Amino acid sequence: MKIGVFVCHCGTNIAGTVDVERVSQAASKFPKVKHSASYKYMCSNPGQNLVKDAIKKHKLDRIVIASCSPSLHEKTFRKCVEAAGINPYLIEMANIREHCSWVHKDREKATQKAIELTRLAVSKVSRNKPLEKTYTTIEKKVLIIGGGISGIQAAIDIAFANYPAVIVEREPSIGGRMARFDKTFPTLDCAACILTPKMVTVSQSEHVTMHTYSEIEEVSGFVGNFTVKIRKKARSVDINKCTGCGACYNKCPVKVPSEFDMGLGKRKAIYTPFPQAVPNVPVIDRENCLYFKTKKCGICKKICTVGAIDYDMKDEVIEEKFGAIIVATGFNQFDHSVYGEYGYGKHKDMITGLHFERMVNSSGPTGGKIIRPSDGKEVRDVVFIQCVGSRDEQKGLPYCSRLCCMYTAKHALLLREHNKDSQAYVFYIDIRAAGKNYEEFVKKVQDEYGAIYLRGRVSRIFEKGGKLIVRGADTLSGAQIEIKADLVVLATGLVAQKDAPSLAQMLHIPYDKNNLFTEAHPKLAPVETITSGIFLTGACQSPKDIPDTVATASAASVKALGLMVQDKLAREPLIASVNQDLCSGCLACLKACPFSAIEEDEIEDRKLRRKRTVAKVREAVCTGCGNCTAVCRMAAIDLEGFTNTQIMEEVETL
Amino acid sequence: MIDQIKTKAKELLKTKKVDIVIGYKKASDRIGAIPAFIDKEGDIDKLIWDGYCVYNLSNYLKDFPGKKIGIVTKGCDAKSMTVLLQENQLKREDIFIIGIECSGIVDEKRKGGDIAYDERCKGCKPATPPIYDVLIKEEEKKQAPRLEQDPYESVRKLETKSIEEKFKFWQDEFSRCIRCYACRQICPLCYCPRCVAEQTQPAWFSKAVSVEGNFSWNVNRAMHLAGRCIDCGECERACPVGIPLRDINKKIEKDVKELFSYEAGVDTEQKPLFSSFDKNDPEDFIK
Repeated sequence: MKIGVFVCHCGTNIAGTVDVERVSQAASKFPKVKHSASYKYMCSNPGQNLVKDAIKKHKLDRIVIASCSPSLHEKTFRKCVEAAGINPYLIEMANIREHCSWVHKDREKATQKAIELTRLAVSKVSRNKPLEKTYTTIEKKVLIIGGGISGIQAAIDIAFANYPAVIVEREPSIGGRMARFDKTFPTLDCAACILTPKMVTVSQSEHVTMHTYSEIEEVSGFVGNFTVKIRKKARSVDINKCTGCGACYNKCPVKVPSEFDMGLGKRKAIYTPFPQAVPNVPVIDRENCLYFKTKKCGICKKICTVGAIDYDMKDEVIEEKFGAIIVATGFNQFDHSVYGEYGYGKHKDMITGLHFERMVNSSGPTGGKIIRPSDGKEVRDVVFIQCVGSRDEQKGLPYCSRLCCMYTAKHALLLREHNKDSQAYVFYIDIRAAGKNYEEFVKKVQDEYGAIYLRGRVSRIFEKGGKLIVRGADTLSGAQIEIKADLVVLATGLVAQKDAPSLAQMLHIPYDKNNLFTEAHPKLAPVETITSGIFLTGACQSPKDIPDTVATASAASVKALGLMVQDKLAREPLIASVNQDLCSGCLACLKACPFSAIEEDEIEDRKLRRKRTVAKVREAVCTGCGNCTAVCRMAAIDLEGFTNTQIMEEVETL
Repeated sequence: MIDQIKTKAKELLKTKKVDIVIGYKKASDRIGAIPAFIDKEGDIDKLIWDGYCVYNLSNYLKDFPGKKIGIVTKGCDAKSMTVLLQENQLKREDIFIIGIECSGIVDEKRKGGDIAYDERCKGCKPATPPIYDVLIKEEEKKQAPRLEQDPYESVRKLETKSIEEKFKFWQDEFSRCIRCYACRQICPLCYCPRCVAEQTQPAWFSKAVSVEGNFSWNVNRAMHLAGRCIDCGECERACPVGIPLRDINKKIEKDVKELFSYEAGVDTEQKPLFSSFDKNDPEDFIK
């Protein structure tokens, strides 16, 4: 065995804290090491050539690269040694950057640690075995979770490349949040006018299948071969028979607050959320429907001429296979009732930005009139408060929600356009208008539309004489301010969907402390997740406005299409295997495996002279996560690349 | 009570519902009780029941593969069967559990010469087995007084020691270990085809009697029982050098209870502790 050790300076990233020369010299004295060297950038072409040349010159058969995290450059060096004729799995990386130079200051101690890390890698590599990649097929279909603008754009892009896309949307219609908006900043085109054509494109595409009023129930498998169970909730209306005539909801006697209109308007118990809904097929809200409550009524069924109403419809769970998954589940609004200074959400004439969108919309519940929800009177003085929840580590969110500055400016503009006598007051902390034509838009609202911007926090809001008294400070002039407002609009921040963690756990993708899904790399892999084959788009990853959402949707689609065009997918051979003689058949591994990659098997036990149950790894499904090896008391499961022998060799060396 | 056990055993053998009944019989010293394996109706009179029936008989279940077994089971011992069922080592239909709602057993170490109730029994409230096919209750007058005792008293005492003191304590205890593996052989939950202590590729720890090897073995044994040990106390009883093995087991049991609200042996359907992930699991160790 002839091991070669190559120590990387990584510019000053490593060499700044670690004496790389000493590491290289120390490594040359480790057992079985025939050659060691250091170089400024080992991952660069000259660096790789150095490795290749040394392999030939010194007839090296195993390689240790002491540099950065294997997640960054292991693939690079696998390819590099393969080109020099060594099996790509006969290398190990000692992470002396993230695990050492970046986290330490003391040069002497860091150098010592780097030597030890390299020593471990050398002993581990001495136990490596040559491994071969395996290949699997790819299911040429993309699942898109969420049918907002993000999911719609992704579906259009996938369909444009002639690959099938399936949208799963839990609401009765696609459209998401954007369908609720009135106008969009900074160009003020009407949201419906630009969204509806896209919704129609999706619905008419031969490549797109929509499952609305449906939810993801279970996800298993791996990149190229995901198996997904989708629960199609009982719509109570046959989607194939319904013509969308609307007779049913016109005649329905039950009125309940409409979720789509944020409770500002009413809808029926059988309803489509909005007129442009796609599909234009109503759904029965069984909780409020008289028929389901009392078994009486049944008007919709009587009136439907095509017999589309089906009270006995049941939830249906379908199973489909997909090659890639795009997560486009969007966002929720911050709940402002935590703020005592804003009256814990009790004031009737205090609404959120999304309420304002519905109110200002001419097809909305007020027909475009901006009114006070308490008495229905048209408003004159409106106070907008920015950063509600956002940028508040104590009670709210640590992050900036990015779009509130812009939508508040838009609201101030729309207010003046709808009512020439109105006056907008905006309390802000900072104006963040970083986007094409954004700053110009805010300026315009301030200069041409007369919105009064006050830099400061609101300290108290209370009711007096039918008005909301807003007390705050203008920190620029130092003056205390009191405004008698007809309406207060809160620019509530964007938060993750409530059930984001459970979806993330189903998909095996990480999420952060704010329950936002985590991208594989914040800069260089912003739409990928660490689970290959699963991509992120839109506000489920971080607050995004429409342009950014659409951009990430197309980016995620390209990533998914990149998989679709492959003939076959190479699978890493770093997977688990069971030594069935050692296996006791307790099946703890089967229960611990998050990928359902372990199944029961039966062997003839010669010692016991009978058959017994043992575990077996389904190789095509195993991702090599190592959960099973950790729970196996018998040490009967071994993970290639991290075998018991390799790890013990490291421990013994320590 | 013993008559009820005998009647049931007889019925089970007669109707061929089971091939064998595992119970207790008098030891040759005429005092203690040892396991009895009865496969003939004629031997049924050998069966006894008294406070000396200490052994956890479920350890013998694995010795009769493919047979239907009737087994006399105390409340605590039934828990080990629950774990065995949970871990796929038993088929429920293969065993008929004659559950005993016992009133406590003697402390074999007979501290101070008295025949006292075992430590474990004092903290044991309703001694009803979690699973059984027939339940036989102790007559009321024989019911032992159940004291409100903290089952973790000795653990709490150990917990007050400093890390150094704890290390010293266990090092002293383990130094006596002769690696006879009696603790493993007696444990109903140590059923691996080949124990890690005997594996050679890789050799997980030294097989020789040495401080490191002894420490590794004893810690390994205890950790392999984490979330599984049901505190039948057999390991400590079998230990020829008197290592307080129950204290390690109880410490882990206590931690598991406090951290994950998990209790071993109460439900055959619950996922094994280490195979289950709950998003409410504490993550304090992630800084």
